[in-house]
Amino acid sequence: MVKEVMRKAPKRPEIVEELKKLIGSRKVSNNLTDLISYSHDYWPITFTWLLNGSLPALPDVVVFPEDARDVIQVVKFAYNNDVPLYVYGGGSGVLGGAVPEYGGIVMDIKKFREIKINDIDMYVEVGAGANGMILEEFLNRHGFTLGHFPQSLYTSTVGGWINTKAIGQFSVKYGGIEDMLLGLEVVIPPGELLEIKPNPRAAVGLDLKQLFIESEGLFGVLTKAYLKIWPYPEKRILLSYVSDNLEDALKSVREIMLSGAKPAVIRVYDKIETLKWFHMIKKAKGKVGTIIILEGDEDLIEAEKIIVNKAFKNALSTGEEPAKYWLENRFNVKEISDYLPLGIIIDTIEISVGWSKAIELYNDVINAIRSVDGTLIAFAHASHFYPQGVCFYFIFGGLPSNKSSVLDYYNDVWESVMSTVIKHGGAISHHHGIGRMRANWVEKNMGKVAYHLFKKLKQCIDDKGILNRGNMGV
Amino acid sequence: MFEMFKDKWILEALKGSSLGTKLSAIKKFIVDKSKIDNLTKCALCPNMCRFACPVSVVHARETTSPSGKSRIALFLKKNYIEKNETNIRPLYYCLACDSCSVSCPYNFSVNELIRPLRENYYKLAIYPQELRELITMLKEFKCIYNLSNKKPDIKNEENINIHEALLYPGCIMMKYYPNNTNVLSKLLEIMDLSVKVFSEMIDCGFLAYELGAHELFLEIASELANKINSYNAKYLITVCPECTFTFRDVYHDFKIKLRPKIYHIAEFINERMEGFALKQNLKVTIHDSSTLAIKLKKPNLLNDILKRIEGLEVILPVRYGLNTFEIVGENSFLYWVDRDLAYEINKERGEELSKFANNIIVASFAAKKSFEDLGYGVKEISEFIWDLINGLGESK
Ligand SMILES: Cc1cc2nc3c(=O)[nH]c(=O)nc-3n(C[C@H](O)[C@H](O)[C@H](O)COP(=O)(O)OP(=O)(O)OC[C@H]3O[C@@H](n4cnc5c(N)ncnc54)[C@H](O)[C@@H]3O)c2cc1C
Ligand code: SF4
Ligand code: SF4
Repeated sequence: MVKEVMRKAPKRPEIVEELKKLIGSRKVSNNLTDLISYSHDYWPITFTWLLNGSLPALPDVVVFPEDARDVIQVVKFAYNNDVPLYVYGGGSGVLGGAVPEYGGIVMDIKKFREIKINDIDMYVEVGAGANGMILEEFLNRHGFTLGHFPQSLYTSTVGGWINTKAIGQFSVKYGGIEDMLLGLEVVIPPGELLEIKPNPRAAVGLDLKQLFIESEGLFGVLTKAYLKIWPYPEKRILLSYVSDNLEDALKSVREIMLSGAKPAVIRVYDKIETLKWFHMIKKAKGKVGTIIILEGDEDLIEAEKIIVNKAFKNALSTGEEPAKYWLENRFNVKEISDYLPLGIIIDTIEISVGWSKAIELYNDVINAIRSVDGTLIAFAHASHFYPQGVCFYFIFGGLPSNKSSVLDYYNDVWESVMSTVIKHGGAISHHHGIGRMRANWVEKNMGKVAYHLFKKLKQCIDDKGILNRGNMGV
Repeated sequence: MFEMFKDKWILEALKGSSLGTKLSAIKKFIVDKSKIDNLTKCALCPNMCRFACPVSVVHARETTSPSGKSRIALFLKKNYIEKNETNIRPLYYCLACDSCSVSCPYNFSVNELIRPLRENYYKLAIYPQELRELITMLKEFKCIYNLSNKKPDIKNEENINIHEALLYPGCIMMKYYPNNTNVLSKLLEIMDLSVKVFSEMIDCGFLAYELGAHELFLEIASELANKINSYNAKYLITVCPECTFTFRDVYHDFKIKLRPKIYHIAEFINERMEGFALKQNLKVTIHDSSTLAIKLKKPNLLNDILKRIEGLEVILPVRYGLNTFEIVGENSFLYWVDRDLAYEINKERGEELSKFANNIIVASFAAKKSFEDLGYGVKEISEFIWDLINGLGESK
């Protein structure tokens, strides 16, 4: 028997047959194996439960729509019968954003995976369920790139990216998903298809696209997106530097950001993480390593190289090797698999902050994590930069002492980090979103008025609250 | 992160933690870590290979994604869910293609991880009911089809008395393309080999093995090996990548000895095509078999052969070589378990390839059959080469 840890509503088995009648039995399942598969996303704490046969929450049914008509039918059904509806992409969200807390229907959107390139207007029209790597490989084969490389590229979907405001490793040049989104199609309650056409820019009333970025399935079922594409880069230059400390490295990066140069990748590792990514550079021990990758037009990136070298003039230039090593290993994701079965919980927390508070916040967060009893590791890198500031990506791991449970330890670390970030006025999430893990801190971080407006918008679009019920606390 | 530990940097990272925590962590890293089984690791992975898995891409469901299957397998193994026909079904949504292993940080093949469970359930007679007929055939005829009335099309068989090579046609070729045995033996003769065709219809055992019916596999394989060895041939030429793999690797693992050196026909052509000045003005694309590319580690074989043909334009699809996208032949159990999905996977691949060229070259008769069923222009590599040698190739 599988146990449910978070389920908050009674079972509704009667909806299965009705949905089968509505869209066809092939596209509907209440097999236990499917209910299990859609009971969680990649929220690390829930995997400690999974190992013991417990799951966050089983849905009552899973549907697999194949076209917008199916989606409309299901949304109408959910609306008319007040059934919660959760949308599932790749399930790589790390905060429980796709957990069907109130049961009901989970809708897997991955059949929406058609890809069409418009090579004149330079965009791709792509189904919301399309897998990131399949999309990128398809574009590459035709001479283009999206420039969006989240570490979850191999497993996440376009719809998931938009709904969590995802960002990729090459963000300094190509931006986050919000910079790529030109248009979309989304089904909103009570069952209407909203279309926003891909124009280079539009000043025609409110830009409704914004409603769906980082809306985590609360406002509609995204079925299609139009994303900007770029010619496949002509050339790449790999660089790396070792600075004495984090402050110096960040100063150099700030100089680059203000120069107007746009390296594709900039990654600054703190002293601990530098040991991993710069292990081949002896002189990097005890220092702060930075990897920079330039790509695009040859003349342009040669000019950028001059700017980058100037910004890092006081650092040690350490050649291509660290960047090469990073390129080769950047998708090797093993942490949860290797450590969770040992009782060690590992997670990541990404936040953003202006330059003026960056160092202080970094130090305070690391100290906050370390102050929680049981912490084994706490380190960070900065990998997304703006003229105004930086995103820090903290990694923690802990082995709770006999006195506390894994869950207690985990919650304590999150609490300490979230309150530290809020105290410094940073954003509690830079790109993973809120989900269920961060829900408690949204109001504080957004501000009362903003949060109230957010809730009102939700109420206005989805008056019965069928979509992703329970998510983000709204 | 264990690599990190090995790289010693994690020791530095641990410096900030309390002594007690540090010590118990080190014990865990050193003693307990080696005990984590691979299925558990895969079940905890965020599905980093799903983009490469044909079943996952086309079925587009979590339960049949690579780590989705491993999670269900783990739940079955730990008795969290009942072992019944519905719950074990996801374990059969696999092509045994190993495409997952190519992008897996551990090089796991999900098929390898879940086959032991299929083996257990086969012993308990729990498997998808659609496989019953197939299993009955395997038991009765030692072949996935009853081919007792099919004979290879060999006209000069009796004239050959020194048989350097034994050609093993395999089940799909014998069922659908028995005439090609003649073409193949002529091609091999032109390539300086005297050939005899294996004419008894015992299949290689691949499906029995993958189903986890290991006793049945042993029975089939032992009988076949005895018969093959009795020909005293120097080479055993197969036309099906799965046969090649089974003879080369699985028989070896089961300690079943095959005396001849085992070749897939494409490997043989690649070795012996030097003396032939082949020309053809044609645009083709290729479908690499995952068994050849990944299991047998020959990712460029088809392309290498075709590159040497003057005038031939080989247009590589999006997915080729190690990143190929396997299709579902009749020698895959998924074909028997979910024919609609098999059709969809093949259609997806066919549509991809046909965008690049109208002529698809394959290295397996199972693939030829699958593409032909969908109406695509397809040639198996040996017949393509034979037609070129004989000036029969079309120019387009
Ligand atoms: C190993 C790993 C590395 C990661 N690296 C990055 C990274 O580099 N950058 C980054 O930004 N994130 C990263 N993430 C987080 C995660 O991959 C992203 O949040 C991603 O955008 C989620 O996409 P998904 O398709 O898996 O969405 P899911 O997890 O399925 O869903 C995420 C949320 O969006 C909603 N949703 C999904 N699709 C739709 C739709 N079509 N319509 C409406 N709502 C929908 C869901 O209900 C849920 O609330 C990483 C995660 C992992 C596991
Ligand atoms: S062996 Fe092939 S079909 Fe099976 S899980 Fe791996 S990639 Fe998918
Ligand atoms: S095979 Fe490897 S990459 Fe694929 S799901 Fe399993 S562990 Fe992850």
